[in-house]
Amino acid sequence: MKNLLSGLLNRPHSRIGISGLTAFARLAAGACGCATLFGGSLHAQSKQPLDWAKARDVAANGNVRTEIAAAKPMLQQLSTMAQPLGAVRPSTGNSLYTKSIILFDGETHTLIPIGAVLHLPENLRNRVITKPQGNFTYWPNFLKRNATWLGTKEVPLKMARGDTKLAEDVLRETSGSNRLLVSVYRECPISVLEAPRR
Amino acid sequence: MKTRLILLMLAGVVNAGAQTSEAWVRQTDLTNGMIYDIPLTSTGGTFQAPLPVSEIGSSFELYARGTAWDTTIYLLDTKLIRAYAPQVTVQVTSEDSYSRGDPASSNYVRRTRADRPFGLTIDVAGLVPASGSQAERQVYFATYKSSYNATTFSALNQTQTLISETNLGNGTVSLTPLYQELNLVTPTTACGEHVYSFVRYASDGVPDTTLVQSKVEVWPVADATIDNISAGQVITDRIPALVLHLKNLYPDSRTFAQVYPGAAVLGTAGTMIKGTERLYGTYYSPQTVATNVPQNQDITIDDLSNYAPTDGIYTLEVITASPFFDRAPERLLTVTFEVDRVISSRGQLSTAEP
Repeated sequence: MKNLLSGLLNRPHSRIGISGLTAFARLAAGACGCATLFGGSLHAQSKQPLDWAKARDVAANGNVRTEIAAAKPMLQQLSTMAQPLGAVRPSTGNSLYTKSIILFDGETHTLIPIGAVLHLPENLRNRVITKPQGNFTYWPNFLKRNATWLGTKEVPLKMARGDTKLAEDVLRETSGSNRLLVSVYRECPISVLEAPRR
Repeated sequence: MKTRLILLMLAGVVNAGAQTSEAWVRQTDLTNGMIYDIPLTSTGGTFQAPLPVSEIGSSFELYARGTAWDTTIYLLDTKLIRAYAPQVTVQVTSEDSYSRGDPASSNYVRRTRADRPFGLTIDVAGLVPASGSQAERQVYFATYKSSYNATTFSALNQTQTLISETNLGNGTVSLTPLYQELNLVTPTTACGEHVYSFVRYASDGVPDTTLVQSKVEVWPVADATIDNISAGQVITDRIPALVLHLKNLYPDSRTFAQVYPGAAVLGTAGTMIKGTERLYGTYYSPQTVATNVPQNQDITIDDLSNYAPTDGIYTLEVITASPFFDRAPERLLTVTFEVDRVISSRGQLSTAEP
């Protein structure tokens, strides 16, 4: 249903009949929760009165350009708080992807912490990708839909923090698995650190 | 105690984010970099960090997937626990009261129209001007713009451009009026967003951290055109079917076509043409699910003669009302025409003569 609707939903421009559009909006609302694009009423007359004394013509480009030009630029307005920039700028982007491993099932991807892949069989290496492909899927949903090749392994917190002995025991236990295993602590993905260097 | 207080603040955000039902908190141990992802339940509830906070501290980032077709991941909130951190709050003011996200965290989305001003009130506190560490002296502030796809109104795969950047010290400032900077040539067609990011500089093992990220969506000014009739036209025969093209109707708006006798006079309440009214948003249409993007509509009017029953001059107008200018009616289109059926009748009589 979602695929069927996607073309129309991505193009909120309709030329279908009035009653048809209303019915379609209801259908879309019930089917996939995408009705925010079509929310609206075509029949009911608004009960909100209009104040005709305040009527005006909609803004023209020339008038808006004049208003924008007359406004004080933001940095000038900020002058009381602004301070000079240094040579280095901080990273402002969403660092989630750079601090995550991307898993891909051929259609969608999900994210887990760096260091959370506990066991990766040779034939599943293509499930780990470096750039996102397909739509993002929430980890719990991704795990459910890919249970045939994807699993989790509960690890002690001490191991996640780099305890070599515990890691050896767990890795020995998981080495024979034919599934990609993600380390979890209390069912939530967690990175497993390497042992601190001495 | 401090940790608990901040976590409870985070819990409030979690509740807001949980409406999407696909939200999670990423806890990063700042001592060793260990990352822990905690999916949140759709029912929300108090969030308690399962891992203890280490000596240097932990960062907590609240992420959520967009709703419905939007699969973008949004950073909704960031909290640094026990590490030194300045406090930034941002209030966005707009004539449209619409808000998405949690205003308490300053990470939220407001919206406005391309021709209308908006404002920002920024408060920065907790910085130490005499400190030798840049992270303790200044907060980085950057403004970005990104145009949306003009057809789908989607932000996906659009390029983000830096507009301005500066460092900020402690203080409070109100920036108003501000205008969109997406399109300065034909500003009424601007369609996109401005992003205001406040970043704490990296220090003491804590990486660059976005403290606040507020957005302002900018939607184009509505536009109306009509086919099969033009200003000054004298209609001597049957009035043809007209096609009304409505473009970029604001997501909180009421739009309709009306007719009244006489020449155009701004502020005249005419007779609304049946079937042309479009209502969007809960203010005008409380019983329907609100839209959050502009709407385009093509409407055929095939009964205009019912609204111009006798010969004379008439004016057809398209009116829209939205949160702007106190929801005053704004005229998108006006066409004054004349109906003169007598000429037509005489013509028919003359052709009937032998």
